[in-house]
Amino acid sequence: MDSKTIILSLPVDEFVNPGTRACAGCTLGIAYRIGLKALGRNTILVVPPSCLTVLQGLFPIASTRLPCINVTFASTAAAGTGILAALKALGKEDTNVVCWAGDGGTSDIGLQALSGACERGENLLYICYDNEGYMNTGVQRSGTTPKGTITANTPILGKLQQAKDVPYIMAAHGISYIATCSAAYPLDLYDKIKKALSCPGVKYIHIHIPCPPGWVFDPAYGVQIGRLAVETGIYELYEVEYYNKRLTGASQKLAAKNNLKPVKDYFRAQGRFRAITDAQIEDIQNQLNAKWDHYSQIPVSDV
Amino acid sequence: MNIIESGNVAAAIGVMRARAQVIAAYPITPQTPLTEKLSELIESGQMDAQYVPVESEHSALAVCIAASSAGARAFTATSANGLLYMHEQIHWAAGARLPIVMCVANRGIGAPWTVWNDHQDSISQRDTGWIQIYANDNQQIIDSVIKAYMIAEKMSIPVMVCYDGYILSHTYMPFTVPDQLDVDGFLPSFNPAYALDPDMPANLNPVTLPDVRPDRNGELAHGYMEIRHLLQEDLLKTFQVVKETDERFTGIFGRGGDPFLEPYRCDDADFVAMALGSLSYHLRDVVDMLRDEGIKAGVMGLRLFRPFPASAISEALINRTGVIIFEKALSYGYEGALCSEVKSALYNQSGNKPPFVHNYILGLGGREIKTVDLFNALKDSCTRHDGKDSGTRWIGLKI
Amino acid sequence: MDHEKCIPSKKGKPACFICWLFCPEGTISRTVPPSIDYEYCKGCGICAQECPSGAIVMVEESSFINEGK
Repeated sequence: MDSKTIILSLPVDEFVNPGTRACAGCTLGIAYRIGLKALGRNTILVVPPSCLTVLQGLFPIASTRLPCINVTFASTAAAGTGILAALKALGKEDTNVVCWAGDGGTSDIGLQALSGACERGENLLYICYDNEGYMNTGVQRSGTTPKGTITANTPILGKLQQAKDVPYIMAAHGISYIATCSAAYPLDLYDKIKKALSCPGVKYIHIHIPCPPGWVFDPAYGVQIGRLAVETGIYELYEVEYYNKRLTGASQKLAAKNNLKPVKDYFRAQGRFRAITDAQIEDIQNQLNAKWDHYSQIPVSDV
Repeated sequence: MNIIESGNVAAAIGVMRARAQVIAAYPITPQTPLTEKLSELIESGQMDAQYVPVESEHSALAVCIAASSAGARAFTATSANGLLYMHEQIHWAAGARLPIVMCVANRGIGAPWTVWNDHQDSISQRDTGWIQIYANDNQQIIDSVIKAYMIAEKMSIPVMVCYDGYILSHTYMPFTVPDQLDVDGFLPSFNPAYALDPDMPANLNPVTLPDVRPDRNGELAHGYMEIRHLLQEDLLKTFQVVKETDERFTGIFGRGGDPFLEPYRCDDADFVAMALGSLSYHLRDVVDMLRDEGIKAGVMGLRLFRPFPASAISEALINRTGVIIFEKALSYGYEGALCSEVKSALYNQSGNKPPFVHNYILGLGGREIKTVDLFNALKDSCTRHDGKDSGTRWIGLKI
Repeated sequence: MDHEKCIPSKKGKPACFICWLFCPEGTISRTVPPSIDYEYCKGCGICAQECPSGAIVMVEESSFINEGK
């Protein structure tokens, strides 16, 4: 990656007006606000039903200052494809076409269309903001909800299944660029979006989005919890370019120093994990230790 | 130029003549050769369009919705289960007021699986707000596709051009291919009131509340109900546009004249049979046979199914003794869809005693329709009626 | 916001701006000194949590109303 952007060099222009309908402390607000700065004015957005639909506001008032098309839940990547085809037919190919979908709209109902777009090599930037559940409809479990999570429809036992690894699924498509990001690291997100825009075909960005009501924590701690996810090693910041994975930023540093914060801090900071036992957390810690021991031994390329 | 080709190819050439710019393609029997022909036309350079081989029919219409929203003339085609798979998108396209044209090669719907012709697929979409045109032969297919874009873009309402799977889609017939320059003179390029544009940012089709709300200037903006009301109002204005489009087309190409109902020997008919699609032409043979026996029968092919031309239908039928509706679809739990709608068009017509309405269901899942069976049914209705409506009767059941 | 603790305010030039970066609403201006638009601030507290110099403190909204602000 080229030289990293610092706060003072971020574009000053805002592309979303304040007073959105998002929850107080919604970290999607951070990711979206900074992400749009990376995309710039010459962008058309595609948004399926999700928290972002709500954030953008109710007709006839919209908070986003860019053209946006709302689409049905399963069709995000297909709609992005349609806009690209139209722009090509009309000779206007320099406009960015960017999908912003939630984890439900990506890993579950939207996966098929996304897979198709990857296979066709559409020049699409697909951003999945992952708050690990169907939050817009009241916190139901999704394909990316972690195992053991209490949600509105896993209310007592917690989710019994392992989460899907969507970036890994994307990597199997052999696309040019995949990046995992976090709302707690907005400059990293900014740089990765900028880089993605310069890559061909479908580019996939997965953003970890701590959600105060869904994850059950005080809204003030959204960024802190996002940071903790990375510092405990349970969420990795990395890039994949044509099947080749490379840790980046804070995760790269974590691998180099192998100084994971205890993952128990991450779990116990969120009410949604109250059904997970200390013994289960210890298992997870052991797995993380093993994984990051392994990472610390692989030569980490200097990007 | 006159050629002999299949209905699918007729449709494809119509799409080419209409200069569609974005084609979404997904294979499903019996529509597949249409999209294959389009890919051949595009790859050979005869047609300048973006061909998007999508991974599902739901995505096919998603591509068209997005492309149309971005200012391109969009097309897709499907049949049966494919049409149903995109059902939520069909509603969306109409609600979003997008002038998409889609061909439906009519095919029966599972379960159980069938690939053969009936009309349940498109009939089941009649509530969605799309304009529905039925073609009776391959000439009408190519002409209807071209006219469809004119109508769609004038009304900002999507149009479904339906034609019988296999019977028309795969059957070779002679027809005239309109000249490209003539079509260009008839159909201008797509120029929407709004297309997604960073210079004019707008948020299309967000959540809309039950009640009206002021916009940022304080003026009341339409609520959901107003927006939907406008769709209905515009559908009712579509009759006039269909008529004018047909007249203009006839003026340039010399074909047309019956945009709503295509009658055959109806001038003095006491009994009028009615059907959608190629069946109405098949019934012409039966009408001739009955006429030979001195029975004054006629047949009307309904060309425009949505918006439903109720006044044209009641005007055409009100003075008859009987109307006999042959359908390849039904509204399960009640009766043939066309039958119900014709009856309602005839209801409460001032003065006259309305004709009786008989309803025959036939040809489901491609069950062969034999002229002798049609003849027996129609003759029975004409000669042994009691002046009352019948329940649904089925032709061609074997067990 | 305590402008004696706020880094850009103290320095009198653009610096830090972490609160501007992290506000989900974009209610904090990227100015010297930074200011918060209370019309749109939702009171989430992320800015207070992230400010490296502890210059931002959360105050109950009712006390504002009482002071006629």
